[in-house]
Amino acid sequence: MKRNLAVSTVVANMLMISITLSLAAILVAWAGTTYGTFSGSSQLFFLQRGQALQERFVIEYVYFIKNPTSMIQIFVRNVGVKEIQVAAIYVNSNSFTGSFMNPQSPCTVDNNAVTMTVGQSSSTSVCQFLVATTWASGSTVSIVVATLRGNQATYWARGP
Amino acid sequence: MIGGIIVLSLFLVALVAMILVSQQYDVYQGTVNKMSQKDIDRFSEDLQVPYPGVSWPPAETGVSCAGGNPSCDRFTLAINNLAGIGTQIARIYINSTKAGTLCSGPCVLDPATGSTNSTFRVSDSLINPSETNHVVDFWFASNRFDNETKTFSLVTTRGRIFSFTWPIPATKGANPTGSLYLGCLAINFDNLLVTYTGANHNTPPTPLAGGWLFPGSTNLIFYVRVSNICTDYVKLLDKSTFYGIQYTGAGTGASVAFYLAAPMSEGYHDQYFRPLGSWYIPTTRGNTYPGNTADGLAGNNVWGYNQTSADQPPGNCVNTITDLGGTPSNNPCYILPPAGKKGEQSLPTYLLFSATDPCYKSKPTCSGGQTQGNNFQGVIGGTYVIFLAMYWQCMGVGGGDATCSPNYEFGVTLPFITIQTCDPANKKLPYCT
Repeated sequence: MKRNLAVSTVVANMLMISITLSLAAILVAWAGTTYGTFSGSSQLFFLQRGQALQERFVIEYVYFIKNPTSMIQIFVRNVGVKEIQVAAIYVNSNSFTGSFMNPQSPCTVDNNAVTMTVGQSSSTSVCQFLVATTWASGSTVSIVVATLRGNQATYWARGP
Repeated sequence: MIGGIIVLSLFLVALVAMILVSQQYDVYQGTVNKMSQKDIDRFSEDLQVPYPGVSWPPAETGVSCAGGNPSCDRFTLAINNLAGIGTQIARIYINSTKAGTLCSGPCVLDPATGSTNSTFRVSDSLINPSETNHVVDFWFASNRFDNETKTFSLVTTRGRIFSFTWPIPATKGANPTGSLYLGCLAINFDNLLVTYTGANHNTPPTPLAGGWLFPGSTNLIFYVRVSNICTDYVKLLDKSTFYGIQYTGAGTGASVAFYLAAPMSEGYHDQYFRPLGSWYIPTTRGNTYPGNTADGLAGNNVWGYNQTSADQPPGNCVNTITDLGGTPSNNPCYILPPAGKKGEQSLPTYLLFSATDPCYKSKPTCSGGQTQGNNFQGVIGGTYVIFLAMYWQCMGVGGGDATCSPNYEFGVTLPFITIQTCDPANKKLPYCT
């Protein structure tokens, strides 16, 4: 007579329960990680979007200088509720970054960006940049000021 | 049961994640709403600078302020806030069309508590909702303020920029050249029709965008050239007046009435005034006009109209009632001869208007050498709008003019010219050229 070998009913049940619990743990862990990632990403997204949204700055005045060298003086004011970091200035698509933005005192370049604070009483809430670039009388000049958070302020001017 | 626990766990994990995301979204939405409100506030700002824009209060001239070169004066800027939201001015930029003459770069005026060059009063920076004629004091080196057109840019703390040019083109009495047509009258004013009674000014009035530029602190006499375009004789009535109202940053200021003093003929004007420059009456007898035996137009006095003494105002008016058989002493040049035909202008008559008129008040018995004092001196840096009131009546002579009934007196008052007064002694706002 042939003898059939098998685990007992108790062992079989324990095995099934263990496998099920393991799979459940893996599933819950996976779901937790996924939802956590989703939650973390959305938190970062909303945080960055919120910060970027709080940036408001304007190019309030542009002055063209011809002598001794051709330059454009750009006055930027932070009128938002968050400090901004000017990362680059574009004049007719030519980029000026870092020290080439040439911010005038008290504004300074730090880590390739110019930090502009908030508040009328703050001396660095308005900065003037002296950008060395050629311009022609009567020609249109496009000026874009970009921040690290990705916002831009644009200004069109015609050379006097 | 195990399946239930698993499902419940998954549900709880998802719920926690959704709650976290919802909270973040709420915070974000709050920021969106806050910034949207700020944007609404920002775009609600609406500032307007009314005429004359920049004034120069004479009582405050010569203010010594640090950094001024050579001296710093206080100017005032009037601003209307047309919005229902308060506004704060953060900075003022001034730029001149004549590059490099105003400042070494753009003139930047920042708020300050004291009188310092290139600043404005910080307490004036706040403008209430719907406030009109809000005055902002600012200090500036007066020697930089020439007559060139300047652009003022007012930057608000919310980032709006409001610009205007100075001088603001006059809108009241804005047409100093060309003719005004009032019924039968064609009326002109030009720079030859102003007289200074002081001998120390020899510069003619010059037109500016903001009006005629005259020297201040000197007595002024104005002439108005009037022609008849009707085919009837027109009698000008002596209640015609010339009325000046000062406009300051805070609204209207002093007013002064000018009265019709004396007329003169075009021939007289062409013969004596135009060659000499009508803006200057010589005070030495050797330079006075023939027939003017007592310097009736010299110094600070002009003779009242209709005086019968030998000191009669100069001029032998050709457009007189004598043409109608009357005598000059009765009613000389108040009568304009008719135009040759409809659409033409008659020979003009020059009407003299002078301020402060003790003689006029006692009319018609003004006599005995009584003079009509001319006491109008424009405040330096002031802006005046001159209103002209003309009254006339057609006389119905020779069939008259069908368009002008002799049965009625006609009268019109309108803004006529705008004047700004400069300082002839100092190079200050605005320059006397």
